[in-house]
Amino acid sequence: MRLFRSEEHVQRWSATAGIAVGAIFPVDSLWRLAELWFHDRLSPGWRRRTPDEAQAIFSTAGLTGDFWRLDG
Amino acid sequence: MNGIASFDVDVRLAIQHTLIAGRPTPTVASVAAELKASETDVAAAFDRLAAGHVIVLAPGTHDLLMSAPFAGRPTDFAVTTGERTYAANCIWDALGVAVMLAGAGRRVDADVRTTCADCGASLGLAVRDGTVRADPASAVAHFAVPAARWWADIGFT
Repeated sequence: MRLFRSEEHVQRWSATAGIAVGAIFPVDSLWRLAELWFHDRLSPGWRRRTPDEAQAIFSTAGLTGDFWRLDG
Repeated sequence: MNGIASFDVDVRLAIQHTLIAGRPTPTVASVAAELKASETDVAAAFDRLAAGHVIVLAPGTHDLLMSAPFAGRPTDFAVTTGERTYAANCIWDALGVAVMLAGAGRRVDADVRTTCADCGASLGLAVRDGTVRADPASAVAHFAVPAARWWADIGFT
């Protein structure tokens, strides 16, 4: 889960490292994901997300498709 | 079962607040002293939290590697907010530090520094007034491991 200089750099890293490209997305989506995921982390009532809850967060952040599926 | 027992909540929050305060990475001994609990009980709580994927320990030890969004060791994801700089586990967690601190009523503006895994160039994210800006603007996030497999090797993920 890293930041790259551009999508082209992800492609080049993938080819060099022999690791398949996963999901590439803009930092605005990453920020939305972080907001949804971490806003309540210091609450005493916080608990780990259920798969359904996590899936809903990914979807709300605009992160959809097979890569983000938790039931597969 | 996703609930966390009361004592384990205390341990989890003690870990987080120790890291927020910029003190050394919590240990069983330091948390036990803070909570006035036995090290045996705190060690058991560490084990339960790790089994529940709430924290990550070094294999076979109680050494804290991760208490998301914080890392227990220096990483390539440095988050500066106010006068403190924190180590995050990944770029998602780096922004999570700013979000989590804002949720606690603290300063939300933050600067993330990391490097491009391809070329080694320095990259930044600036969080200001609830928005994020990348430097350079062309920067993108990349997650290599599909969501369903994140916990198969959380260190690599």
